[in-house]
Amino acid sequence: MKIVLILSALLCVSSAYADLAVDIENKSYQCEKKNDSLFHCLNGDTKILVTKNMMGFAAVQKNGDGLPEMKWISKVVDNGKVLFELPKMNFAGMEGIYKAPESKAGKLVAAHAIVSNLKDLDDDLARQFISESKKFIEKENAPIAKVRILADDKKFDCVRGEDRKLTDEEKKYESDYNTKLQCNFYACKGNNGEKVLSYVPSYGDYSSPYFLNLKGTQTELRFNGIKVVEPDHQKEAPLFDIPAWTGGGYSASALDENLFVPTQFEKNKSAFTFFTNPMTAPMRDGAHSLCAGDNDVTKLIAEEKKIADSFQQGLVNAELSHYLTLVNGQVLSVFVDAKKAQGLGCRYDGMILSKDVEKHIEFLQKSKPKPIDKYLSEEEVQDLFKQAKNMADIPFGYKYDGCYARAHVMARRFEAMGIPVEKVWIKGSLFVPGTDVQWNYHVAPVINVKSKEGKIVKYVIDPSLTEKAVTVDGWVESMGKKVKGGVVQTPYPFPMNVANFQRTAVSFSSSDVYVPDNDEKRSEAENMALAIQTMKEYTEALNEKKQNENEYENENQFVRPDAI
Amino acid sequence: MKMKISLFVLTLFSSGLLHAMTKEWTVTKIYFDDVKKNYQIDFKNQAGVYKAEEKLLSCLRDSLNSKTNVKVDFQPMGLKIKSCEKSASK
Repeated sequence: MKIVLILSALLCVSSAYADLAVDIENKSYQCEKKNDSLFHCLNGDTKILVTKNMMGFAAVQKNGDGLPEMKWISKVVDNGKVLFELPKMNFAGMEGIYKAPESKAGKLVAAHAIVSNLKDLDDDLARQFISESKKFIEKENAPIAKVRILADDKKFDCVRGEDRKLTDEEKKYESDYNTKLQCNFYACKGNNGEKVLSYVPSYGDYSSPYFLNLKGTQTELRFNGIKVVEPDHQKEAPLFDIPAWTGGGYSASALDENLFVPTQFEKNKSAFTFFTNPMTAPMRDGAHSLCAGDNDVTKLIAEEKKIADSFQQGLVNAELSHYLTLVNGQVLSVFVDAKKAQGLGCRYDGMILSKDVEKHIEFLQKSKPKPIDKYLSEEEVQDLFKQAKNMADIPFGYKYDGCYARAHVMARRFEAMGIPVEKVWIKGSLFVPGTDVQWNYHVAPVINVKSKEGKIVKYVIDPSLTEKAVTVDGWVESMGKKVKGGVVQTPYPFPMNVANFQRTAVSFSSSDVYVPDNDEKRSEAENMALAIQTMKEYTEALNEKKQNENEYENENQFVRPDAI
Repeated sequence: MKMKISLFVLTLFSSGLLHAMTKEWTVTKIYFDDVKKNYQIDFKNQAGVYKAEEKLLSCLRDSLNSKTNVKVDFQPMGLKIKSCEKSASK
């Protein structure tokens, strides 16, 4: 009896591990499936935890120091079915899985990731890993007063700035996101006397260190090929070790990024890109604000701000050309430096077209506004606005998104009334004053009006934004703009990166264009079906919001009639 | 007056109770709003600016770099992204 029980117990254990195989850093393990997104794998006597996350699967295992660490998973096979396979990657010529040089910062980033990735799991192994990671974070998270930065043959000795007192809101943010808000800037002195401002992020922060040798518009930025060490602990693993080949970009661009750098900043591209990157610039301002006092760090920060402003002004003043090229089979419209645009292609309608775009000339012609043969009077256009506003199936109250669907349906209905329609597009960093509505572009139908004096004026019908039909200038003015530069009129398709150059673009197209990509393969029937579906979804969202408000109102009236 | 205040508070609260929408879109731009301490996300062809917290950044950045769709859940009122995962469709 005992033998049978032992055998069946062994059989159960082996069958639990039999069908699930996980490849972790090129080694295969048999695993036990706890549920569809949680496995335990055996590596000798130690257990590996495998969890499903938003990017695929991840493994956590203790390393030689007894500290839990994240591992790459290359393949998950359940009962012969491949659930996950890591795409082949190439890091600076190194095929396969990239292993960063060992550093304290890397270990802390991993510890933070383990805490946040495993915190919702009901599993003893996960709880054990979280507890050990938290202990490591508590031990190593304190800011370091002095660091040394090594770059090539240069050595910089750095002193950390003073922390500002945090607001209650910031303290809550620290606790909610398990992070530390502190002054991460250091004033550094090089071995040849150079004064350098350096940023060394809090451990667990995903950003990387950099330093700036502040020399006006010739400022030198360095973010790779550097090591950050504790001056008294140079034999230990460095705090940061950033290989020389590491890139600093946040997005892979299909275009030569050099085209976006104005010629005047040609000699200092990396600093220009750093100071004008729309993602990093606001983050840098936030990081500066955490430093206080009258000291070398705050003085260097003030100098850095002046330099950043001069780069930003360089963007506002840059002479630009409107360039169209083909990326992944689709026409991409961008602003590029005017001098660098010369020789990129031929001129067409105020734009420069790359050779491969010339084949799409028909598409560009179709996008252009059609000749107008009928004009409304000022009274008629206001009457048309009222009719549009009364179209009950168009959710004008839903302002967050969907202008393209509203504009398309209105345009086709106006055309069915025999009224010629164009569309006006505005692209930039836009917001509706007094609301939390923000747009990266907006579109509405346009009607050509002949005034009593015989003047032709374009009027915009946009009940989601205005109370009557308004001129294009009035429509543009009704939106707030978060850029320093002005409004420019460009041919359609408008440049997608106009806000990066601190400007706002206004373009006119035919009514056929549905959304900015204007996919040539999509038919009018498909565009209209998409528009109707979009409006239906946003109408439901508005109705649901109204219903919730009514329910609360009724509930309140019933419970607290005395409160009215 | 009390009624007005409580309705206002409840209206704000109720906007967070609406059903999330699910879409498969490609990220075209990510930038940081230092005042609101969140990330602002543009999707291909969508006019609205969506908002996301740092924990969703790796998924969203992957879409930006690979120019492929991600599946996102978001609140239609306020456009706050609740979740992001890799999408099967391109």
